[in-house]
Amino acid sequence: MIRVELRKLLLRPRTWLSIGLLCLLPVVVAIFLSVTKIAPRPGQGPTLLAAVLGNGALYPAAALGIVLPFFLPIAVAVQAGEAVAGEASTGMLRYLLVRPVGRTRLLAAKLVSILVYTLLAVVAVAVVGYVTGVTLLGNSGQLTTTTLAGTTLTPADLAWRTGVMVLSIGWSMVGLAAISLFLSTLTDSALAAALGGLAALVSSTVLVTLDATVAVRDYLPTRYWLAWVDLFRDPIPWHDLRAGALIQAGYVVVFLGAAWANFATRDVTS
Amino acid sequence: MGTVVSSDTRRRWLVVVAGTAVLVTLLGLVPVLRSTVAVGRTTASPDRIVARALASAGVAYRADGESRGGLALPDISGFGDLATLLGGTTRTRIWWDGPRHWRVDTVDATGESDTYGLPSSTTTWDYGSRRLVTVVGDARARLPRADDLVAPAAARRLLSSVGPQDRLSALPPQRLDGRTADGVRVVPGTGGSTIARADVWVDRATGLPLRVVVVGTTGGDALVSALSGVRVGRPDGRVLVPPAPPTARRSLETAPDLVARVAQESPWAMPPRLGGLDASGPLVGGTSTYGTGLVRVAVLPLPGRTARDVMRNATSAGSVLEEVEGGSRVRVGSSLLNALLVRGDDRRHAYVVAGLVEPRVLDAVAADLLASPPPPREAP
Repeated sequence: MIRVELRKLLLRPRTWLSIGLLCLLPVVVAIFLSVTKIAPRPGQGPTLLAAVLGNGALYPAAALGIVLPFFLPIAVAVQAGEAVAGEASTGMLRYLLVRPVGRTRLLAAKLVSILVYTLLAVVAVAVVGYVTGVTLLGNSGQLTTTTLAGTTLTPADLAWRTGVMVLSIGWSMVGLAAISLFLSTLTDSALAAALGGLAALVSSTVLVTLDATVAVRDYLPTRYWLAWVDLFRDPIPWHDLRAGALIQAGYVVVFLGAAWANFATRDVTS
Repeated sequence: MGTVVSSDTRRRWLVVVAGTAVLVTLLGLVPVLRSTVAVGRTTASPDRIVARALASAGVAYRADGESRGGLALPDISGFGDLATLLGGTTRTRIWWDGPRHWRVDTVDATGESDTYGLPSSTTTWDYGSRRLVTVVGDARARLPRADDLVAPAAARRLLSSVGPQDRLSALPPQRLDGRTADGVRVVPGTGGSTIARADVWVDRATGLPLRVVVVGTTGGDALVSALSGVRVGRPDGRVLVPPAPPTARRSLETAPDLVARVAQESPWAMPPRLGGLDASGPLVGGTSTYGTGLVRVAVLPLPGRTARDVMRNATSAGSVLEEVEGGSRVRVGSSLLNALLVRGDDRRHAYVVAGLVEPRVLDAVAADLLASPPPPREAP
């Protein structure tokens, strides 16, 4: 079942088109930066973008910082929202369930497919970011990459920190994916499920900024989305990265459980 | 058939709801239980708790800090990040090996500014501006920095100014971030202070202040500063070495800010008494302090041109210029910290008068300064 879903994911043009569009914005930004040599002032603009001129090896992080606030969550929410509701809206869900597979297994396969899509998207942005950065923004070849604390990063340091960053950002999307997947089991409209997930995202983003929400802020899904920046501090503070991973796990357990409870016994009419 | 499906549905939802309830309960209740776990009563008197806090500067530790200021100060050009620092939330990471060897990082979502305290200098690395600034020596006066608001530093500064007239009382001990803390409350003993009370919780094991809450007379928390994730012990020495990024702009200075610069050049011999308050610090140059206990006023003489610029910046930020007998003044205030920018009619005498005191106290000091301008300071 999982193999079927993965094959469907990988062979569908829409998958690669959406990932291509995700990669496009960082490429456009890199072209502008390389032509004009005008980077945002440090501390302004997308995270780490100010530090990439002449240091393209840092561009994967900046590229992910560019797509993280909007485009990546939109892509993940659309993918997850479409998982069950999309099949229902095209009338395929009934035929899927005719096969000798349980609904729980189908749901698990859908989740794995979403996880793979998310990881593919993040890795693609990072790889395209690296190639674009080194090609267009240059790489002096010297150990000039610095942390936010001003200390020098060796290429090995930069490589493993970027790897952990990719995993961290990928995992930070999982909570949103679980919410959208749950909504996808409630409705036959993939658009409604995706928009519901995005509504949760926007609500969380707004609430996180308010001092009045201090009692619940640490449990909101987007609270630790920018914790990956901590990977570029020295020493690395792991607390927020750990907390972010745990919070996402909590959302996955709750909303995947809800999706399972609803989908496993739902009347499938379309 | 319908009954079977609906009972199965109910069973599944019951599992999910129960699981969610357990998760939420654990997340919500564990911190509460940790903070309310039985804490043994302290035998230390309030004076003893204060003494332990004041003696804690040598306690080495590593912690995260958060300070939240509720002071709505106008953002006046020349006064750096003062308004942000005292009117917003500041997150810090602290490595403390002693009063002359420490590091405090002020972090935000996309950058950081790191200050390194060294035996004969203070170095600040700012990622935003990519500047590495080393200030040699200790400034006689300067604007507050983020490291001044870290709970132990803020508590020691507050408690060191407590006078015999101020009242100390014990608070029930608490568990803070897994550590037992003894509490002490300070209430100003005389009128004029904008502080209604200040509560300080001190780690029972080490004497390290873990939390400070200052409540203004207008109500509400004016300043809350707390440590979390405290690990007692000497930090790794490599963390305390300032960075040397190859692309940084470097500068070496003797004064970190406007206040420090003008304090070095003060031309006036300040009087021993102003506004009914006796001088409580040195009167030779720099900032002079008047008053005792929590009712203290700092007077910083300003050069005429600087005073004109600062007053213009203050009025641009919304403050009102008032003409008074002997000169003019601009009032800058918040619920806790008040300040007066004062300039005499001779355009040469000008001052910043500030303190955690009611405006009337500052008015009295300013009136004396304008009525009897201090004479020039004699050359040493």
